Amino acid sequence: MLPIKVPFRTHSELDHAAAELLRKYSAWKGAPARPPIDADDIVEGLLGLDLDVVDLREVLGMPDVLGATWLDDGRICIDESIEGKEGRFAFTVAHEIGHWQLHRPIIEMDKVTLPLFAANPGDMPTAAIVCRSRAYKQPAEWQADQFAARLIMPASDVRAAVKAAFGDQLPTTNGIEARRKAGEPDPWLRGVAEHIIETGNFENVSNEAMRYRLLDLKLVVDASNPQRRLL
Amino acid sequence: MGEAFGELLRRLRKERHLGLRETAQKVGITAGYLSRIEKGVEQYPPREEIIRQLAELLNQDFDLLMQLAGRVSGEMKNLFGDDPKLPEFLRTAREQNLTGEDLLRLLKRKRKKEDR
Repeated sequence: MLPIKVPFRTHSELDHAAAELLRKYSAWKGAPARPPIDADDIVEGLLGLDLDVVDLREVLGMPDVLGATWLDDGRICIDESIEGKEGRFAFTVAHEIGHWQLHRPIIEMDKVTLPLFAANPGDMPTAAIVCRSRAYKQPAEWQADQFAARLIMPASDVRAAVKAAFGDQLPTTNGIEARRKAGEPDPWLRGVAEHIIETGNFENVSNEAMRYRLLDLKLVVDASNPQRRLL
Repeated sequence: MGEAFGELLRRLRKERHLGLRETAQKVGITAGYLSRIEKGVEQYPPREEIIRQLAELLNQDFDLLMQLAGRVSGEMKNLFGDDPKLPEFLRTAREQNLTGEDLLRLLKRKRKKEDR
C-alpha cells in the first residue's frame, strides 16, 4: 500500500487542529463539547459525512483493517469487528476524522494518488485512506492518532479530571518508564487511567488510550525516573 | 422513482440528529446491520417490530416504512386471513386503476351518505 506523504506537524499544531474542530463542534451544537466527545456526531452532524459500519476486513481483504476514509465520497467506514468495543470504535472514528481534517486538504491540493478501494462489493473502487492496526505507524497514521487522542481526550478536560481525582499532587509511583520499555503490564497506571475515565466521564475512551494520554500530558510522575525534574 | 427505504431512514435519522450507532442501539439492532440497510445492500429487511420502533423514533408513517421495506405486517396478514374476498377486492380495484387513496375517498363518501 502506498504511504501518504504528509508534512511534519508539531504537537502544538496538532493541539490547535483538534481544539479548532472542537470549537466548531461546540458552536454547531450550541453548547460546549464536553466528554464523552461524540465522534460519530462530529462525522455525521458537523462534517456532514456518511458513517458506515462495514465488514472492511472481508471487503478489502485485509485482516487488520480498522477504518477507512473515502475522500471523494465523503464517507468514513469502520470495521464491524470493533462495533461493540466503545473505546476502540470512538478512537478509530476520531482517527479517521484526523485524516479528514489534516490530510484531505494536502491530498486534494497536491493531487496525491491514493490506492483505489470499493467500500462494498459491487461498488466502484475510489480513492481511500485505509488504516490498519500495525505496530509501526506511518507519519500520517501517527498524526491521525495524535489528533484522535486530542479530540476525544482534550487536555483541559483530562487535567481537570486528574485534579478532581488526585488534588494538586499528581499521581506518582516508581518504575512507570521501566515497565513501559519492558512491555510489562502496569496495574498501577491502569488503575489511575480507570479512575480518570470515571471521574472525567471519558466513557468512550479505552483504558489503553487514557494511559498514553496521561503519559503524553505528563500527568503521572515516575519517581524513579532521574529525568523527571527536567519535565 | 421515490426514495428507497434505506435512503429515507438515513435522511430522517440525520434530520433528527440521531447517530448511526445511537439509532441502532435504540431499536435493538447492530450498527453494521443498520448501515447495510441504509446503503441498500442488506438482503433481509428488518422485522416488523424493528420497523415499528424506527417509525416511532423517526416520527414516520409505519405503513409507508413497511411498504418501502417490502414487508407485510401481521395486521395485514390477519385482515386477509379474516376475509378471503379481500384480495379479490383489491385486485379488482387495481384492475380499475384505483389507488389506495381513491378507495379511501370512496369509503368516506359512502360514510357521508350514510350519515345523512
